[in-house]
Amino acid sequence: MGAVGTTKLTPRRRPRSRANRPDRTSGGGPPGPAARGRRPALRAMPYLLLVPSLVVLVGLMGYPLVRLVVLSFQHYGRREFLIRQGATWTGLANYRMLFADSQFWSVAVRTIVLTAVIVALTVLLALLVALVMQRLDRVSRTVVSLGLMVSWATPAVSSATIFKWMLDSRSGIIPKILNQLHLVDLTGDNSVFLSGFKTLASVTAMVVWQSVPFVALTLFAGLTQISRDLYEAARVDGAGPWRSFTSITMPMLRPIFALVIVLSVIWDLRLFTQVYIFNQGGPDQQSYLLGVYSYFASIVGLRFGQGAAIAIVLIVMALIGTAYYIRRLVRSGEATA
Amino acid sequence: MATLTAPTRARAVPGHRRRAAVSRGRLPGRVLAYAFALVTFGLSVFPVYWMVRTALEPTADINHGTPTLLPTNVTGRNFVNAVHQRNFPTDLRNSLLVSLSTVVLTLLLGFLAAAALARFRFRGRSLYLVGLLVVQMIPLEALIVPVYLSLRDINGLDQFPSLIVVYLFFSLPFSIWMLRSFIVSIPDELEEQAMVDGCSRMGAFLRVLLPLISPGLVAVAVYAFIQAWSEFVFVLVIMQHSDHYTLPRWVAGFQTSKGIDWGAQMAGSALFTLPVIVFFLFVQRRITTGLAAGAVKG
Repeated sequence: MGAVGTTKLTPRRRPRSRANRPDRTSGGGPPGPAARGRRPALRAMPYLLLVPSLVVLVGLMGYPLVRLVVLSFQHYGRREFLIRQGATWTGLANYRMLFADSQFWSVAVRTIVLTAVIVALTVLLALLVALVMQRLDRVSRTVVSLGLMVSWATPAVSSATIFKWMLDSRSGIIPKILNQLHLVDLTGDNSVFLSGFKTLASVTAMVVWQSVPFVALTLFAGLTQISRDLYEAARVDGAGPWRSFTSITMPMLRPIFALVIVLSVIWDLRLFTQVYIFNQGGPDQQSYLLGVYSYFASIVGLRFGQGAAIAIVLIVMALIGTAYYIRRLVRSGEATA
Repeated sequence: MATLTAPTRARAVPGHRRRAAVSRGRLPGRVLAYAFALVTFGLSVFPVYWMVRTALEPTADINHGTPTLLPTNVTGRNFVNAVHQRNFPTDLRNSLLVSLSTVVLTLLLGFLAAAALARFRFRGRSLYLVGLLVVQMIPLEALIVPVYLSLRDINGLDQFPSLIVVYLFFSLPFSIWMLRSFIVSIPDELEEQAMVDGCSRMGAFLRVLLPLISPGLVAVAVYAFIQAWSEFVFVLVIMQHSDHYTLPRWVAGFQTSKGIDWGAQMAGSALFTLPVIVFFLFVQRRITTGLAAGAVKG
């Protein structure tokens, strides 16, 4: 952020100085004599350095995005796939078919609700963890953050596998404990994996378990940045703990909240690995989310046009969920950097 | 005077006591905090612990015993069974090949891009930086259809380079951000000096800058490795022949066989997972601050 002041000098308004001056973030002083009138080869240098990464990024994001949009307006099914040609332009047919399908609506609503629930639970629990961490001594705090990192670092494939085992209706530890406590029966025919709702509830628990650490540690880092003096001043003015929480902690953390919520929304909308490994979207497609739905429609069912339309819906959702943040990025990008 | 100082002192003293309260809380509150911390820690590590514990327990105990926190009998049998599972050596080799190639390419392309973004001013620079952040907002799982079809059109399905390029794409944006912040923190006078001494610009980058940012390179390498090592969706989509799978598919593949051998399954998962956790703990500080900084920065 410290660079904002100096960098404002460079762009748009002064095109001539832009060419290839080495980045002096330290100050806006006049460029040295060597910086002017460099050889063209040197002026091209930053672009040359960027070309390789740009090729990868555009090749794997730009081109597929365009192709995805095109596909979503085409009929591209089994026949077109096998003979490798003949995709025909059908306008909005894929979308019309999709929107007329009640399964699509239930999957879309399920994806939104599940994302909302997971994000809300994650952020609330993480806030609690962060506030508690603030009250620990240093050693315990390190121990807790190490524990958090263990769950954070576990790959999605492994956590899905482990939770599958822990929830196994015959020998899994969770059904056994819940039985002992006479809470819920998850054994035999009541297996988690035979019910769409229980499958989704388990996915929620699993993803929250894995997502809390990043959010908690980020919020905790934010908490440590808040000056003690603010709390001191609030107390002098007679504010209780709750009041200083709502009037100091929350407003000060707001930018970090915005960040972690946006990131969580993207990550949770994308859920695929866990749902797929956990129960293959089952039972009876009852735990399909948009990503898995698109995969089964296209790669498995060879209805590529339809799969593309589903994917577009997913992307639009992600963009709506993050629009505010992206707008801020682009705007600050014009000022910064 | 007395009337003036008295209230000041009176306010100062409780104020001081309360200050201590800011950091630690009163006793019941602190007990509650420690209890909650204990639960948090327990829940965080339990699944991973349970994986290791199951991996060490004989199959008979797994299926019929009453689960206890510590296994009554310990065996290495499950690990032997897991490793002798079909395709373990092949998939391990594939995983290493793909992950290490991703690491090398990420370091190379990431360093070049980061050097350009940190050391030059040029048209399109801010666009590129913002683009790196926006790219991360698009759910990549939504791109499996066009990636799959495009790869098929160029006969790229079931090929390792395809998978490597996809993973390179996964790890590049964040890696460029992180390396850029490392380079920015190093004064460019050092390179200028080298250039005065006769180095070319590129030579200065390679001889002066590169060694100085080695901690950043290590962090990026580990990050890229973990990404590629753990990825599942695109191995599922791109790789078709079972000799070309990587370990995530091997771990997930246990599931579909009838009568799951949970001991071997957990042993396999442990072999796959524990290196990731160790690597992660090794560089977590850099990745955490990098994630936050990269995203907040904009």
